[in-house]
Amino acid sequence: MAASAAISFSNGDTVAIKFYYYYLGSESTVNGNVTSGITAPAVSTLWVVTSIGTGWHIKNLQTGKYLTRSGNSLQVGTTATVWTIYAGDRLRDGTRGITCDFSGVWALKNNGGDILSIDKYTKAHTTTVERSLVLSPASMTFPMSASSQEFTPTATTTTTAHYYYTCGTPGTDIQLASESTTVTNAEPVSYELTSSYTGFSLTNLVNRNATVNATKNTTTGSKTATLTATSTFPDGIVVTAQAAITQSSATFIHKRGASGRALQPNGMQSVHTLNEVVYMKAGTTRILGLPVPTGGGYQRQYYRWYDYDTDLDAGAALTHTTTYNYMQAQIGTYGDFMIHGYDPGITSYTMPSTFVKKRMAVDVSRNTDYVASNTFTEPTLSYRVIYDIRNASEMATALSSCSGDTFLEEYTIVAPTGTTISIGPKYKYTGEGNNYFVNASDPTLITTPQWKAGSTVITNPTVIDSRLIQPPVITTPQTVVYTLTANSRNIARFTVIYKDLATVGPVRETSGKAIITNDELDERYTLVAKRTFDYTDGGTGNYYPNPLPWDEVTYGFDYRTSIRYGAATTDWGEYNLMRTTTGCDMSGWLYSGVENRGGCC
Amino acid sequence: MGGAANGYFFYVDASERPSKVADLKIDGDLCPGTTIYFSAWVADLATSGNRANLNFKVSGVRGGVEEDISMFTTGVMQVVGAWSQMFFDLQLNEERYDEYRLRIINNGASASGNDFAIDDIRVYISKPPTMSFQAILACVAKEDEIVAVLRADYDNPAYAWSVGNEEATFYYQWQDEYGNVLNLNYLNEMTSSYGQIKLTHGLTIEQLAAKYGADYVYTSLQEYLGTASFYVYIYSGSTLANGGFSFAVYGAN
Repeated sequence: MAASAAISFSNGDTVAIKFYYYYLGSESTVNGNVTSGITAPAVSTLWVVTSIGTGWHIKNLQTGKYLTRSGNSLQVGTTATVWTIYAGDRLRDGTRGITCDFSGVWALKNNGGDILSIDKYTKAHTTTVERSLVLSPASMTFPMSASSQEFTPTATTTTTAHYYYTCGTPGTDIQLASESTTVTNAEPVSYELTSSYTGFSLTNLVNRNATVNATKNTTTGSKTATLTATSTFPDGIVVTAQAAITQSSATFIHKRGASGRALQPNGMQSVHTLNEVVYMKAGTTRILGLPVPTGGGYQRQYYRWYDYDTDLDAGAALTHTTTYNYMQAQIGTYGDFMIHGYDPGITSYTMPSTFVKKRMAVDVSRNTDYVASNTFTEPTLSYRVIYDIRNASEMATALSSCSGDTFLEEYTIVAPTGTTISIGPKYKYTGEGNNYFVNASDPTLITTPQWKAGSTVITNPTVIDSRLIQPPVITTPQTVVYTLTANSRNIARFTVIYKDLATVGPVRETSGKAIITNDELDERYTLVAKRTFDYTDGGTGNYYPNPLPWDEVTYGFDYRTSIRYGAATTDWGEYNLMRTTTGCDMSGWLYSGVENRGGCC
Repeated sequence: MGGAANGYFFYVDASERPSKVADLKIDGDLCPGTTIYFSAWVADLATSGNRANLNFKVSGVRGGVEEDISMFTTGVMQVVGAWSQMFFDLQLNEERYDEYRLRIINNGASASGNDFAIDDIRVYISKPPTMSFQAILACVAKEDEIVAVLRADYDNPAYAWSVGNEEATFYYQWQDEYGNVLNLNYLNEMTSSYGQIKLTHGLTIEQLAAKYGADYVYTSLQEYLGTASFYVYIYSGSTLANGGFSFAVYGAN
């Protein structure tokens, strides 16, 4: 700003009036007197000068009020006062100039114009264009479970006209009002997802939106990624936007277990698995039975009940008659846990009012090699039970056509004479676990099941485990057909071919022979397969250290190592591979002297 | 005794619930309709409580779906504390499966007792009986005279060479007494080590000749068509050495 050594106003000039460091402004008044200063030019310090004869009206640009004099004080008022600019540099009213006494009080002074400066401002305007690309949400934190999030881009072009007063070069600008116009753009958007973690993926690039998918995070570290969107605006300018992505860490960790074998493709520990089929109606509740539901074998084990399809807690769908709350705060989202407690109780599943095909599961372990801190790493599992829950109407539909000579299940069984045998259909047909339904439109459990041997009804047979009966012993070779029917539907037919016990066995070995020797077998027939369990990589101990292939056994493997809870021996629902019962730690309940068929020790 | 010395047996402490214990793969290829023979040893080990009661179920797996074929049940075991043998046979049905399995099912009623061991499971199929005839001494045979006939019979001719009446292909090979492959593929004049002939169930000799060419078909095959036997005629010739020969059929599609 230039000093006002030679000030000349023109009609309509907009000026800033400055005394020393202080600008004269409309708001710098106390009780109507100009008493304090403003150190920076602003709209309120701009005055519009209007020619009135040899003088001028000085009107504030912002308020429209006038600069006036009252005695020795300057005032701002609504009444115009004519001020005069002489050839010198004084802004005067009559013979008086104005000045400031450094104390913030404005006063009139004949020669006060020496410290006066007047800056002229001119009005100007500019136009700016802003391009914006924004993703919504701007950031996302995925839970540790598998999930997805759609991101929506918004592209806008904002054109803004800025109005201002400016003085000098470089200019001192005083901003006035701005006017903006915003237009939403619809140009294509491309995406890039960058992360060192392969669990994130980008899919569904539909309607300019992007979906980021996160697989389940099974590690204790959180994962991060950046989603970058790029769009070329109509004027050719390329604009990008980013969204920060994180995924929470896992608090429940699967591990390979003592076998060292790979995890399942779904990230779970691989283990022997029993698959149970459970037929249910919508809106009903059913028990999911454990393989060892009663007795001592179920105690002191680790249990985890969960939704097999999500590997997470099933919520209220699974209920228990005892408490499952181990580390609930840390790992409750992964299922219902009990560890080395007592009775696991009875677990039930409740189907919603609309049927949904589900798979529930329980992992069971008698091992102690878990790690519990803020997170929980599971122990080596003994076995897993997967309950494949199907719609009862499927069973009812299948049974609906089973009449006359058609049976839902057909069995041909070779059995030794003189022996008590057990026969039964695939599933339980009575009690809590009854899996047989009729009436597909509104399934109901079968009632009044009836067994026959040939055409003879077997009256009130003893039913074992709601599934098996033991028909009268047959002592001579013959074929007997047993049938199970209910509700005029044929459930199962058993064609039992009784053969002489001496020819089919089981026959005790005497002098190296029972029914036929291996040499005789090799001579008469062609060997296509054999299983002798004679592994050579098991060391010298009595027990083989590795489980059989996972899909070949449904029982739990006893690793015979220190990971066993309470150093337990092979228990109910478990197996091992051993050389001899002689001297083994189960001699209390096993006959000794039974050795590997090929010889032992 | 079966298996290797100092090996192991499969010991099971059965659960209370009757259910599948093991589901062992049978690695061998089994043809539909084949009679198979199972031998297995089981020992009821529990000194008290319930006796073991096992089912041995043969199943086929096709497209991931397992179908039952046949089953043997031990019933409630009467021999305890020692190995006893089971030996049973069954004829596979007409279905062809991707793999076969032997499922062992605990039929016991309680976990009390019910400890058992299983070992030395063997699966056999019938051997195709073979017959050989010597028609004339090779050293005195005239060219193109039959000197010997080998014949292989199958248990079930319907599946020995043809499935579902579809075309079947046999591969055969000539060997001398030392097992050396001889290039004597007189039936089809092929130069590779293995001969090949395609046979279609129900075709006449004339139809076979029209389809594959006269060189593939000899009137002697008429003895084969519609029967359970496979005849191979060995003709004398300048390259035919003295001594014995063997003929192998390598399977059918």
